[in-house]
Amino acid sequence: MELLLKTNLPELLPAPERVFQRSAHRGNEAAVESGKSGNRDMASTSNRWESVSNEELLGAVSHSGDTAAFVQLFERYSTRIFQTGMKLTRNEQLSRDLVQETMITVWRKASLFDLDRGSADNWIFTMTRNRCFDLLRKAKRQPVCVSADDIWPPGEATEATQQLDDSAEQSALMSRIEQLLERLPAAQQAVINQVYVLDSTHEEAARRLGIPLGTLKSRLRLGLDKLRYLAGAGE
Amino acid sequence: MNASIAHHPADDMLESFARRELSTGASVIVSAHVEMCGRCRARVAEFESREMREWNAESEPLPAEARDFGGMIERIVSLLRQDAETVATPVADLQAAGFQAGFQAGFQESSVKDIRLPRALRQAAAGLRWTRLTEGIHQAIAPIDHETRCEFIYMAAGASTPAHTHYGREYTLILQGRFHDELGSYGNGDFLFRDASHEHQPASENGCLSFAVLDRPLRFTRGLPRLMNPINRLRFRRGMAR
Repeated sequence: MELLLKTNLPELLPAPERVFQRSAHRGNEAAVESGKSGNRDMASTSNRWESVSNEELLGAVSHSGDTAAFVQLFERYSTRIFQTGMKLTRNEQLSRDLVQETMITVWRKASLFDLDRGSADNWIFTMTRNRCFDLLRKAKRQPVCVSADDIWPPGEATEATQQLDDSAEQSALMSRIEQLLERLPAAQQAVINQVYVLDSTHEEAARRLGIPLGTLKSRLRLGLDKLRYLAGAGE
Repeated sequence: MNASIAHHPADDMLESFARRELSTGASVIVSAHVEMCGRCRARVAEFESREMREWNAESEPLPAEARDFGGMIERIVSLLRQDAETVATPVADLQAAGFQAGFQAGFQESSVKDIRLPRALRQAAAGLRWTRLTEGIHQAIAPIDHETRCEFIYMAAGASTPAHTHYGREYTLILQGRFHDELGSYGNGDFLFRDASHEHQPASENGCLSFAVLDRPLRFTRGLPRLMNPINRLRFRRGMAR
């Protein structure tokens, strides 16, 4: 299957000189050299990127459309993408198509990669499986009104993991606080309950408990101090 | 996130979802639920990270001559040079807005308002045609794949469907509103599974918009609608994407 024709792009120009024209304008001489001498020297193009993290490479692709950084990403990921393809499709041609489609997506969507939401590994892995899903749908001539990136948005998984960790930590902390709270005098428990559990304002809480605002505030302060003391003592 | 969601896809369905093993229709409805449900997002994330570990583990090197895939990177780069397109415009959002407008215009009396379509449903929501099935029950088929029938279903306030069972499996996600059947009452984000072992008769007091995925047609069990079964099967076939 020749997927390039289906991506609405002009026909391929095989001449490698064309590949690095823009980097030449930016004064990247090495790129021109390697472009002229063919594939074998491709690695030299990427030399200055070799010790750079995957995330930084994605950043360079995103911010300045850096071809050499992109080539470095290709070198680091293409084998893994291909092998994932073989595992999922058992078809060599589809797996090659997958490498190509995935890398094209990486280039185009690099600006959507958000470091806060996960690693480059994670992002490219999601892209790989999403493109694979789309390729298989295309092979089965399924309608095109859904794209895998809508079903499995890249970046979401890490975010959810984050939430999970947070909430696990959160609930451990909460149950610890609950235990400590029980060791407080009832009057202090009541104000903390009003303010921190029911989320009342100080004025509302004082009214509900039928105590002056000043009393509420001092009980709250005493209660929190005691809670902090208990928490510290328990360690 | 909606903490009040009580009905979720089974764990093995969430796992298959994470592994991209479900049909597109089932993937879409699970994705829509997961977007609405923090619990299931966390479950899917666990399955995803399991997959991630596998991805990081494999990768024995390819032979040197295979590693550049016949000059693939040069071809890609030359292609991208001529490629002005960067990031797709959010067409799906426009389609979601169109869905909302169409829905509001079609069902002005509806108490279902301000629908926030989950991302996975937005593209599929483009250009839907609503058809009336029976009093107060409306359906719009979304052509998502060949293996399932996917449809939006709107039940007006006070409407109920004829009692039916299913030949196959039916998944329903409540997008907005509430309905109940013999087995329970379901609100925003709830994910239901029914198959041939359940006979049910959903009804809604205040109106309900849901999204359903069937892998086989419904079979009505009582009264007149039973006569319509052959028609129903026909409609099912037509409803499948071409």
